[in-house]
Order: sequence, then structure tokens, then C-alpha cells
Amino acid sequence: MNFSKRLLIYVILLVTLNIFCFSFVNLLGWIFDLSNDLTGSDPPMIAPFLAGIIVALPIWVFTWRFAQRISISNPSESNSKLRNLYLNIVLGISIINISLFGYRFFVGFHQLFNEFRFGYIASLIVWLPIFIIHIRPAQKEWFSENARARIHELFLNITFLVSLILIFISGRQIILELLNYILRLIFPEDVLVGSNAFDYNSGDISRLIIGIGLWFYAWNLRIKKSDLDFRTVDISVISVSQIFILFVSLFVILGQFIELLLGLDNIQESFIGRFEFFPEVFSFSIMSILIWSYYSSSFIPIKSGMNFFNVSSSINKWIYRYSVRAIGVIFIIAGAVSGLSFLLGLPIQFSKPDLLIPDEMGWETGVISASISATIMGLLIFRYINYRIKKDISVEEQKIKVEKSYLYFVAILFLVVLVGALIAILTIFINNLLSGEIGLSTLNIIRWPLSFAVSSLFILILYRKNISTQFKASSVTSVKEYKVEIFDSGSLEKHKDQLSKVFKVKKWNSIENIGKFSIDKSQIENIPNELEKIGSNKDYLLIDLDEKNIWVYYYNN
Amino acid sequence: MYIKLSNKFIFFRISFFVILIFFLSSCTGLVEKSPARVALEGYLKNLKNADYETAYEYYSEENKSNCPVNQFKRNADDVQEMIDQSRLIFKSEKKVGEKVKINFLIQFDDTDIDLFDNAIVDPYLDSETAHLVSENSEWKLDNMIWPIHWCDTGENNP
Repeated sequence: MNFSKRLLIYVILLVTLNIFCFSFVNLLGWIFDLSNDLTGSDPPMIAPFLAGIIVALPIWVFTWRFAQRISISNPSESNSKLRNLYLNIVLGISIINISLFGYRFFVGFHQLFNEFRFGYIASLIVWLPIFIIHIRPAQKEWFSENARARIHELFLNITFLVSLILIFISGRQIILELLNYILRLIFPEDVLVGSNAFDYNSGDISRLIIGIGLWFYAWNLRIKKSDLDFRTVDISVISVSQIFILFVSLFVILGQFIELLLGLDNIQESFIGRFEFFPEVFSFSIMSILIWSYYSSSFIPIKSGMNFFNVSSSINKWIYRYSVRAIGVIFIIAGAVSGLSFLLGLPIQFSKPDLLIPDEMGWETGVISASISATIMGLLIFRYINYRIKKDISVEEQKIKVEKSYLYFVAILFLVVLVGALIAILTIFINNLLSGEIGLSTLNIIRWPLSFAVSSLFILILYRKNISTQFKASSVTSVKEYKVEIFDSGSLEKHKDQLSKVFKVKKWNSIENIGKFSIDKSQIENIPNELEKIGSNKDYLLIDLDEKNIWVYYYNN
Repeated sequence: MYIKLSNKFIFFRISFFVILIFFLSSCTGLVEKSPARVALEGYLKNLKNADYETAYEYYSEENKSNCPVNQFKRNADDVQEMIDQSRLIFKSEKKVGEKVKINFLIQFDDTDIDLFDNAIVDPYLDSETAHLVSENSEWKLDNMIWPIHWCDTGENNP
């Protein structure tokens, strides 16, 4: 089937299916809404829905059967991108509708008989069969080496990431309420008016259940079982982002405690007032450590040997370690910048305090507590991860690659910061010089960019040897990359992995041989007769073998 | 100073102890109930129990002069549903001159509230500061606080 015909078929399928489903959901909603307080009791209002069903359903059924028949008889048709796109769009719409039903169902579950309306079931009745009909062809051999369904991978990946976000947000909200409740229990005297009970939000519970359901389907039943490259990316991104959230939340908690210490006896605060920040931040810590523990168990060896799944590549381990090292460096720099800025602010504090924006204590306690907290966090993270990296004596290709990326990251980031800070300092300085306002106010404005510049310069000097070695090494030992486009008539298939290692494969074409023809007038005129057996909707390939002969092939995919 | 990290959990141990030390240190200096706070609690509890006459007695003379008792009762009646659905948490107390400023948090459960009711003003206000002054050895509320910010009829609500 050619592209335009295929496009027409799947557009018709998508449009008619959506018209049918929309009409059917509304019709069922009207039927189930027994008291008619949602849709109104006027029967003529269902006319467009009935018309939609009568028109769209037969067209969809006919077109779907036609598309199915062609895809069964022709394997290349069943693997076509348009078909996969259609199937996965429908799966996406179905899963959104089923999830919305699930959310409403669980939210209204505790009031099932007075609040919950049967109208909610309409979307489930319509979209669940649609999901079941489309899931089988969509996930057919989606992970096989020969015909990987990339679009289905994308669909699974999006579902998985959305599920994880739902789990994180709702789980964090539930933990927040629990911690707030514990805080109120510890010091009930702080509650002036109102109930001290646990705040139950059915919306959060419902979101969590839906998130777990989607996660179970997309991750546990699908992605987890195949060690594909996008799973590696997922695990790296999740592990690094979660450990980053954990470190940032611990940094905030530590900073707040230090600020409380610095501001002691300045103001009389209640227990809850003083630790109001703690549930807000610690709920992030708990959720991130839960998710991190699960995903990092696949590549960080633990003595108990407890890991929830395995990854074959060591790339995750090295990406994680060097990302944590980068986080450590960023914390150290943040500590140095805020500490330096605080020190530069001291002369202003003593001579012109009105230039500063003081905290309640009258000093920039927020800045110094953030500096101490970031420095403690940064040093602990940096030393710990360096110890882990040094202890692992295995010399792996992935480690070298990731280390190189880490050094490039450090070099580029701090160079950009240095240049930006220098431009800012000079702009402010020249501006104040021209207007004749050089003084403590200038120092006050430039102390932050100056701190950034000094700290970035310090890091660049510290890493100068590693960076220059890395640049020299990469210029000497850089491996040339050869890009190839492969036309495989069957014999190269079994060497696909090896070829991918040696070359950068731009495109893999599967071709079928038609025959060898002489380059003369009668033979060339004879070629179309041979091609008639294959059909005119194929793409053909003619390659000259020598001065007298050509090979004729057709594309198989 | 070099910390030998021979144990893989040392990072967590150090972090835990550092946080614990800061936590315990910052717990000191928690406050006892002051007479001003007791007065504020009395005002809010009487308001919640719909005992508006007694709640009004906690107003300072200046507050009373700005808000007649009948208007106060009407306004209180309008926002009764709001205070029933709220949790107010004492946050901090600070003495500024002759006044004591008490800050409290407002947590609001809006599930059973008609938020389109004109009488319900700014339900999502998250904190409020009450000013208390001493009059005849008793602490009195010297400003209009949530949930009764105003003392006009409905049209002039803030």
C-alpha cells in the first residue's frame, strides 16, 4: 500500500473512532444519568450522538477490517509507521479516558451511593474495549530486534513517566499531610482552633492508585522486562533526578536548621511555626529516596544483594556517579559563592547597613546559613562519591566516556559562568564609573557576580590539568567514525550488532533480489516485465555490477 | 582535615548526626503560652462556638468604636461556616512597643464550602497577624483579623 492510501485509511479510522466514542460516551451518560440532573431530560438532545454513532461506526468497522486484512497478509504493512502511530494514538486516548474514569471512581468511592453517578462508567464501557482491540496489534513484537516498534516504545515511555510523576506528586502530598499530622500530634497546644485530625484528601489517594496502575502496566509488565536503550536512559534520568531532589531537600532542611540556630531568641515561635518547613521539604526527601532506592538498586551493588531488576550495561552506574559528583561540585560552588558574597557584604553591613536587605536578625542570616549548608552537603557528597569512584578499579569503556563528558560539563559550565559574571561585573563597574557613583553601593551590586567569577575561576584552576589532558587525549586518540547505509539482502542480518559497533549505521535497508540483467536495450526493456510480478507500489534499486551487467533489487521495508 | 570514608554508609551517618544536632539545637527556646496568646485563643474559640457577645468582649476599645456589636455579630454569622472548616495554628509572637503581634497560620478545608458566597472573603489567606494591646491589665484585640476583616455591610467587603 502506498503512503497516501495508508494515510487516508488511518486518518479515516482515527476520525471515525473518535466521533463514535464521543457520541457513545455521551449517549451512555444520558442513559445512565437516571435522575437526568446532569444532561437534562430532553430526549432530542441525544440526536447528534445517535447520528454520530450511526455514521461513524460502520465506516470505522469496515476500514478497520480492511486495514487488519492487509496487515495480516503483508508483514511490512503491519510494521508501517503510520499504522503504529494510529494504534498508539488510540491507546493514548483510551488510557487517558480510563485513567480519568479511575480517578473519578476512587475519588467518589467513599460516597458511592449518593455522589457517584453511573455516568462515570460510560467512558470505561466505551474506551476499555477500544483499548483491548488496539493493544494487541500495537504491541506485536514491539521489542524484537528486527522490527522494533519505536512508536510503541515512545507510548510506553510517556505512560511510564506520567505514572511516575503522578506517584511522586500524590505520594509526596500524602506524606506531607502525614508529617503535618505528626507535627500537630507532638505539639497539640499550637492548634488554636479547629480539629487536630489527619487531613484525608481522596484526590491524592485516587491519583496515587491511578499512578501505580499505569506504572505497573508501563514499567512492570513492559519496560522492565526488556533491556532496551531507552530503559537505560530512563533509569539514568530517574536515578540522577531523584538523588538531586534528595540532596536539595536535605540542603534546605540543614540550611533552615542553621538559620533557626542563628536566629535563636530573636522571635518567640511555636514548635509548628518553627518547623513548618520540615514536612514541606522532608516529604520530597522521602519520596525521592523511595524512587531512587528502587531504580538505583539495578546498578548500585548492595551487600544484602537486594535489587529489583538488572541492567546489563555499566553505563548507568558511571552516569550516576559522575552526575552525583557534578551535583557535589555545584553544591560546593553554591556554598562558596554565597559565603564569599556574605563576606563581601560585611563592610557594607558595618558602614551602610541600609543598602542590604537584612533578615529578622538584622544580618543576612539566610545567605550564611545557605552557604554553610551547601558547603557541608557539597563536601560530603564530593568526598563520598570520589571514594566510590576510586574504589571501583574496573576500567570500563563507559567509565572513560562518562568521565570525559563530566569534565566537558565542568569546563563548559564554569567557563560560561565565569564569562557571564565578568561581563556583569564590568557592565556594573563601567556604568557606575561613568555616572560617578563608585563606592559601597557598587560593591554591594557586584559582590554576587564577583563571587561567581572567583568561585568558577577556582574550579577551573583546580580542574585545569584534567581538562587539558582530556582535550589533548581526545585530539590524539580520537576514533574516526564511518557512517554507512546498508542494503541487506539477508546475509548481513546476523552481523547487525557487529556492524553497528564498527560503523555508525545511518539506515538499514532490507532488499530482495530480482535478478541480474545485461546492460543492453532488450534486457533493460525486459526489466518491467519482471517487476510486474512484484508490483508497481514497490521502490526498486538498480546497481551496476560491471560494464555489462546490473543487479535489480526491491526494498523490503 | 581528612575524613577517612572507609564505610559506605559514613555519608548518611554524618548527614544524620549533623541534621540531628541542628534539629535538637533549634528546638530550644520554644515558648510558653503568654497572656496575649491566651486572649487571642479566647476570642477565636468563642467565635467558633458562635458566642459572639463574649468574642466581642475581647476587642479593644478602639476596635469596638470602629465596629458596633450588632454589625460584628452579623459579619460573624456570615463567616461561621468558614471558621468551622478552618484550623488555625499559632506560629509566632513578637513584642513591638506596647503591642504584641501574634502570627497564626490558616488551614482551610474548602470541600464543603460554597466559595461563591459573597460573605466568604479571601478564603485562601494563609497567615494572619493579630495585634493585641493591654487595657486594664487585660489583653485585647486591636485590629480586625481573619475571618472578620471588616466591619461594613457586604458591599464594602475587602
